[in-house]
Amino acid sequence: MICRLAVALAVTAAARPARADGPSDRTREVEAAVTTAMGAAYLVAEVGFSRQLSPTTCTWCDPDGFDAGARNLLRWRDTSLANTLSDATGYVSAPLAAAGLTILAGRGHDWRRHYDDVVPIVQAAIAASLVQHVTKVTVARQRPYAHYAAPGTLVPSEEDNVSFWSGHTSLTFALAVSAGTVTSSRGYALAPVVWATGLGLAAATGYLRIAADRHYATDALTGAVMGTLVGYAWPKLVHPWIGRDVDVVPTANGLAAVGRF
Amino acid sequence: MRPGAIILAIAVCAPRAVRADGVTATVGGGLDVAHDGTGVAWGTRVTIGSRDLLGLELGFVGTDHALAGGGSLDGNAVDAAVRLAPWPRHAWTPYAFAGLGWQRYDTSGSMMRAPADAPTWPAGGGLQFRLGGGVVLDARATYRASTIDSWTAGASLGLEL
Repeated sequence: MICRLAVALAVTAAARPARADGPSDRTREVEAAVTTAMGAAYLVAEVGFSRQLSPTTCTWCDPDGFDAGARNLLRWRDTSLANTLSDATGYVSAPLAAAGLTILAGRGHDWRRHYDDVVPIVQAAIAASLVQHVTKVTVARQRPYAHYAAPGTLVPSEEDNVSFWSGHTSLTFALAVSAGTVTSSRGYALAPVVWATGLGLAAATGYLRIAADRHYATDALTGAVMGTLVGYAWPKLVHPWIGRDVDVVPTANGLAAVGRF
Repeated sequence: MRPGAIILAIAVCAPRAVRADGVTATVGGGLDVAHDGTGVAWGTRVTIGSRDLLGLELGFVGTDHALAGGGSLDGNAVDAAVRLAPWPRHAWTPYAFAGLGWQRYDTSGSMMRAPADAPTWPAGGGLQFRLGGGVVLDARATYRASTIDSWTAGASLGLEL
């Protein structure tokens, strides 16, 4: 009884209810270090050593009938415009939408809640990109623009044989699904908006990568599947406290646990 | 500002960053204007000491420019910069920055060869707005001197801890 009273007094004295099942600030520091390390690993691989890592010849060179047909159907006349638009949706709009809408969905909370919501999304995006990077240099699939280029019209580039799978598409689906998973797990009212906006941008990005002649349809579809898997699994497995909104609050009789179960 | 002065300023600021007040991380994008036209830019940035007069910025910027005749010129740059904010704790915080970095370009789907990797000297100014709850909105313009000089203007969203 004395113990219960002491705990109740301690909790009452605190300015805000104590989170029973959330991360501590120490955990948040570790999360920041992990996220920084993941981002640095990606930058080193993508920017620092991409020329050394990228295959100079293809091991998967010829498209199948489905991919060839989809290319003829979906490729734009101005592929450069589609490429630029895919960068705008994939690298600007999708990250801003995922982070911005998740923060907006959790409005009214302090920075700790926003941090706890956004970090799993950032980590899922980087994880999906790291897996994609390893795969694309291992599989060495030739991109459609390189496969169909007329002889003598193309300067060889490190980008020519890294078609499988689409990194833009896996990134945007990872962002969309992780943001949707976090906001749904939290029970935010804006969760449907987060899902719809994210998946819309992700689908548009996948389409634009085919329109830009940078990827075949199977590259984009596989990217969508892989991004979805990482985007769903990362918040659930690595950040399991999301969705357990349990607060310990003082009551007249002691303590009570309130939240979503 | 001369390169030596920038390196000296970063060296002076780095130890201060260890005990800095405020860390801000943002993601965003905008437009990148280079000699061959306007492209799209995106990036992420961490500011250590965002509530201090002097802070240290670490960032990544990617760019894409469509090339005449097809294909694209893709840029990737990492940089470090000193940030000077005269009123660092105001809701609206104007600031200026200058730094150094490394720029690489690649072309794809094109007959053009990419320029060689080179140092880059970013400098510019911006405005950071604190929306509350640790959320910040940042708008900035950057002049980036390198193999291909460029202007970037954009906005980003993030958290200040």
